[in-house]
Amino acid sequence: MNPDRYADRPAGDPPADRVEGLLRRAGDVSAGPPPGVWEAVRAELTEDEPAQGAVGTPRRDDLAGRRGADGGRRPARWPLLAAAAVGALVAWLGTQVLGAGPGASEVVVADGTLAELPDAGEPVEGTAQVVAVDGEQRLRVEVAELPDAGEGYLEVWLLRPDLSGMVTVGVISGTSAEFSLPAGVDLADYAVVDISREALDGDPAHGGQSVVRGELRDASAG
Amino acid sequence: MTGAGDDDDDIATAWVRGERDALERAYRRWSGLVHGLARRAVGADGADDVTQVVFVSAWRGRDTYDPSAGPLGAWLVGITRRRIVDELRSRQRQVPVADAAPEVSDAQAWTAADSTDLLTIYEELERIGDPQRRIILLAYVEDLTQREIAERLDLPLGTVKTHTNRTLARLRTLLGGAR
Repeated sequence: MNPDRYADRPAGDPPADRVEGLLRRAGDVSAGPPPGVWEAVRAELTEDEPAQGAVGTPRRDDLAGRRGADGGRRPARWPLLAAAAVGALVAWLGTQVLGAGPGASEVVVADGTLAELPDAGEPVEGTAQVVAVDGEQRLRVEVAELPDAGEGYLEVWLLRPDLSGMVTVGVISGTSAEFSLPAGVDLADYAVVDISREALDGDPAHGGQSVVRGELRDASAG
Repeated sequence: MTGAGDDDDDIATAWVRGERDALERAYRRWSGLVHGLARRAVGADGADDVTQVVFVSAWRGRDTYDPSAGPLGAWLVGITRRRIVDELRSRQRQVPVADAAPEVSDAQAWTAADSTDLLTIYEELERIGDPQRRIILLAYVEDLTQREIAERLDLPLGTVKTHTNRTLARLRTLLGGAR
């Protein structure tokens, strides 16, 4: 046992080396919590986000993690969407790197057009663009008209083309929005931009009501 | 020179703007400190809970962070202090008084006074920032000599000595004044 040599120190001025002593005794305090703590933080904030509707709360879900692990808990209610239908609906745009970006350091890494899905109710057109700014990827979404969110809100997702996985990106509440993408998201894998109508029911899973969708294409390949 | 890879001020700016990655960046930068301080105060098991609550409540209350009042790291340590107090209070309610002698899992038991002062020290170090923060940690956590610190940080030896003395004096005053 290592006796606590400060436990019964006299009141009044601290000994001259109390600061040093505490620092030495504590040692390296930066080891960090186990990984599960971050998962818990993320899960807790994801759960309360729909109620807050706050843009900016991290909603990222790397599917290998949380949603992949408990994917069976919230059955996804997907609209019927054959791959052929997606192909027919989405008009591809092999846009070259646009000169319109506000920042000189930005590089457009992918872009595509968005189109309404059948039964979505209203014609919606828009564009999606991924730019690399200062080492991070940002997704810019613009729609000509904001789809009707009904009683809920509209959420932007990145999907695998075969719908085998999805990453939540954020809430869109205007005709243009910009989102920071989670580091490590492979746009070649999660290539489909999807806007869904979500109910304020606290369920963080995709509500199954996609209203707008489009696929990103590698801008350098266009 | 920070060696942290992510600039504290940049993280704070992202935090204030509510950018989606700000929480993760802040977590990467400060979760070690938050957890490390909590572990001294409430033990390893409680530290996980405290860390989770600190970052969840910090993000939910991010509008209350005022950059002009101090750096984000110091603000987070302040929240850590309050969550530790909450944790200790809830334990007091749960543990019968007769059995109040805590079963501390850490090798050394930290008294409340010690862990409180440790929090004060680290909160102030976050407030002061680098290079003073690093100088103090290299001296008293990694046990480097002043000369080694000067070489490591590429600073004049005199600067290292001055920073060490002034920062120590400031920290001692804080601890003395806290009572």
